[in-house]
Amino acid sequence: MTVFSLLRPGGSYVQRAFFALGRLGQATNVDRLAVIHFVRLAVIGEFPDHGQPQDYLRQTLQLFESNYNGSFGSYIDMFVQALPGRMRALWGTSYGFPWRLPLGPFKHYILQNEFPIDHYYVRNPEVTVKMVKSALRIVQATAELRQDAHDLDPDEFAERLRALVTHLQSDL
Amino acid sequence: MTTPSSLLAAVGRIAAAALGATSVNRRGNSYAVTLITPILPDASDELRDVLRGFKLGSGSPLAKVPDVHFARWVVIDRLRLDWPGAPKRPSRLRSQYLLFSADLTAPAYRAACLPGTFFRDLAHHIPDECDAVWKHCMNFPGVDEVDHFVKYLSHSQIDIDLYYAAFPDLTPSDISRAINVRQGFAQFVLQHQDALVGDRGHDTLKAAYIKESASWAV
Repeated sequence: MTVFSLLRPGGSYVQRAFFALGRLGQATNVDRLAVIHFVRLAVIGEFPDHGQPQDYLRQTLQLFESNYNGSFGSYIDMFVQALPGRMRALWGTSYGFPWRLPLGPFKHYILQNEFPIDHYYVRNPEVTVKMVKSALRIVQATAELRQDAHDLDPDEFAERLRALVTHLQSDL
Repeated sequence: MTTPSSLLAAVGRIAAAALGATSVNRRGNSYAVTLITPILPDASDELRDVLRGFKLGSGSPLAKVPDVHFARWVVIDRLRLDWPGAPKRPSRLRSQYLLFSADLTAPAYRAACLPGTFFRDLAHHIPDECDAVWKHCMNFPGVDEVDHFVKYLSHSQIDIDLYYAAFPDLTPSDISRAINVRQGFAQFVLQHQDALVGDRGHDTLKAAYIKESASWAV
């Protein structure tokens, strides 16, 4: 998702304060959603100068970009339901934001500000955040068992492996 | 001149630095590249054709460049400005722009060299594709003189204000390896379920695990 929105007067100050607080805090809420790989936000007062005609940027722009699992619709639904306060903090200072967050108008608002991607590359397209979290738990547990295996007799090993499979069942 | 906005941005950046994030574009060993370049007049349609002509997935030119999890090129051709309450004299872009963004994670020993190494990797691995894209943008110096190309991209970079990475220290290869281990372990459990639930064959089970688990992370 690539969204540019136009900030209201003073919006850039509020957003930068919010972003500074965001950096100070933990991203536990976003972590818990477990569908977002990367998100970036930028408040843009001017574009890099390459000799182009000067733009009339009377209002500051905000860029929001996200790489997530699933469809656009489910992503927005989940975000609004799980983190409505964060949605308001992200776009509340932008023109046109529907403050009450009914899903229909909010989706319309995002779609109106979104830009279609002309080329998109994903290194691991089938891999979700949940899969990576599961895989990391399996990597650690299976490596520990491999390390211990030489010192275990076959029956002890089988018992450890059975316990491991039970413990990691939801990760497989 | 110091404005309230730049002061707040500076406070945020100092706070981020104090927390160990040495750059606002950086989180752990990950780096957010965000480049914005003005497109030459009347060149956006041809540029779109180039971008949409690139193969997707593993055939994408960006698949040849190390450290890239996600990347996109987006033509910024208009801003939606006519919201209720929007000012009568809203902002207006006098050029169309090309946005290129990438989420990178490098191994710890060279993560600090991002994004410079990434810009050089673009010139080294996909020079023709870079030329085909950015030649539609103003002031593009070409790719042949790599230092000029790197300087051009560096000048096009905007700093972001907030960056989230679910796994800031995992490179794309780390993630592929972890997924391979998960798949390898799942297959092992399926193939050896008789020995796993039964009382016999535990010596074979152990030997198979030691042998096979070593190859899962490859």
